[in-house]
Amino acid sequence: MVMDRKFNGKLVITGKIKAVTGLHIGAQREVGEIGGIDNPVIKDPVTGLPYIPGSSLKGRLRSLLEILTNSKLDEWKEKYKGLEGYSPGSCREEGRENCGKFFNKRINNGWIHVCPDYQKAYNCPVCRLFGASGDGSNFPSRLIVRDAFLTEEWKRKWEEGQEITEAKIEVGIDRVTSQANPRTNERVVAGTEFNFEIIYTVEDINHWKDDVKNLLTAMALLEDSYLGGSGSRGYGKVKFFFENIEFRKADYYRTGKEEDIIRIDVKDKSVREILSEFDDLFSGVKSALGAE
Amino acid sequence: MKFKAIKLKLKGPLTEIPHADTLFGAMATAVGVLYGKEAIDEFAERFQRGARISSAFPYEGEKLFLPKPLSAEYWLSTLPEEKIKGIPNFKRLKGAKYIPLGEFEKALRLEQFTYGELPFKRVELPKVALDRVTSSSALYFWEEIRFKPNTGIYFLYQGDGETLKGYILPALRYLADTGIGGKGTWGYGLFDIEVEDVEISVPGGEAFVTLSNTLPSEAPLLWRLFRKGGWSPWGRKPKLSFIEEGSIIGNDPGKIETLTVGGKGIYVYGLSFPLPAKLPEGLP
Repeated sequence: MVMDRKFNGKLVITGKIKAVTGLHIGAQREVGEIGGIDNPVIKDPVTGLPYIPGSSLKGRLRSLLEILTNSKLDEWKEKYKGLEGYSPGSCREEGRENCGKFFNKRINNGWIHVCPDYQKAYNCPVCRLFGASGDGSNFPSRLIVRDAFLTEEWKRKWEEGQEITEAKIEVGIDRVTSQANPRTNERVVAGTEFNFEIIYTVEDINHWKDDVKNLLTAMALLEDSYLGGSGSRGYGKVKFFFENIEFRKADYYRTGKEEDIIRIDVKDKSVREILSEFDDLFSGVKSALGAE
Repeated sequence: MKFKAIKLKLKGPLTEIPHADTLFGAMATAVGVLYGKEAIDEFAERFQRGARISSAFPYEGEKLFLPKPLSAEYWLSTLPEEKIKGIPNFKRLKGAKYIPLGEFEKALRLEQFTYGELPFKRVELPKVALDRVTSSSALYFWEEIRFKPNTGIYFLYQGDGETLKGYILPALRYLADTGIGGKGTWGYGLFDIEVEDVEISVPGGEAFVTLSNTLPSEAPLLWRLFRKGGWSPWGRKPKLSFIEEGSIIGNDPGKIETLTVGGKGIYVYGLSFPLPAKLPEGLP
């Protein structure tokens, strides 16, 4: 296979992401105040409003798809040739990158999966979607995950003085003496909604269906997992509410004409429903693109 | 003088406010994606023939910011002590990189001007990579520029309507959904487009302030140099010496440099964007 990049349009997925339980995406504390919060959430430095960084959402989706791929390695080897060289597990034990295990790249003391070059990434479900920065050649991400800012409704609530972050006091208790050791965690209150936008670039017309399904699968996995910190203690359950998925054909960028946009009505559909009705919903995109 | 101001209403942060060569490079790449490689040569040719873009500068609502001309900076440094005392926040004025359009017009004429609050902040953010098995964290820091709501960046365009409609706007439509500058995959540099007319009142004069980072073809009059490289789709670009926006030049069109990177030819935009400016005394 030769190295090549094509452009066949973009799928723009928009909607809301709701914090079903308190959400904590951490930031560092600027100045220590007495009685202040130990663990603040990340906020826009200009407006002071909490948001979900695109990097957090994208990183979480990637990690979930990596773990799924690691579990399905044998099953998926037929379909994704790039997985052939990997066996399940982490190179951590060996302490050496690309030892043959799936989690093959070291970032300080963490190990994640990144294909080492363009060819492997092109044939890997994770790297061809999320990108790979290899030693020899990069594979640029086909996915853009934008910062998710508060919806207009929640911005208004904040302007009207409603608290949208809470200081939750948690306590560690000595098992023998029962001495309490309290700490305060800041979190975005349950119910808060953010606007999300995810853009997928259709490069290879034989990949788009699979890539988008993998993306939706990662989103479904995220709904049953958590975003941000302290997830095992109930923080960070999120749910996606879709508004619109539109396919902007390559022609749209040339002409700017509305008729070169195909709109897929996914309002009120859950991730799972979109996945199960995928072929029906995306039939227009399929015929616009010609191949699978 | 009349120009088109092309506003990029930002939907997220930027890693850097793009210079003219970055804008040109991003647009040329987009033109290549949309119309094929030959179209890139035609695009560059149109600039050789007279179309011009400035670097990007911040805006807030209707308020456009422009780089402080070095002529005005030089003029400030020659003012007598008692006059300086009468200027509020003189130090901040001296250090200001951008000033609002109205003040810029005064500065071109070497009249008393002020600065304005900028609509963005440069911040350092913590980011983390997590081990997929053990969740051990690897923390790192990342610098970026965050903008206030209803603000963004814009650049000026001077030239024929055909280049604007046939090349620049399609390229920007593509970039709007792709991102301009670094870290597009985290949603940096996504925007909506708005085109406006803008008029800048300029004095007469033989000297010019350039609003793009320029590769001069003759010696400039007052300048600040910076070295800039960056990446092309085929590898790292060698560093070139540009003069900064706000530098003062004679009648110098600048140039577009052609380089070979990874066996492929690329264009580096270094044309000037000249506006007439009054020269302070003591300069030729």
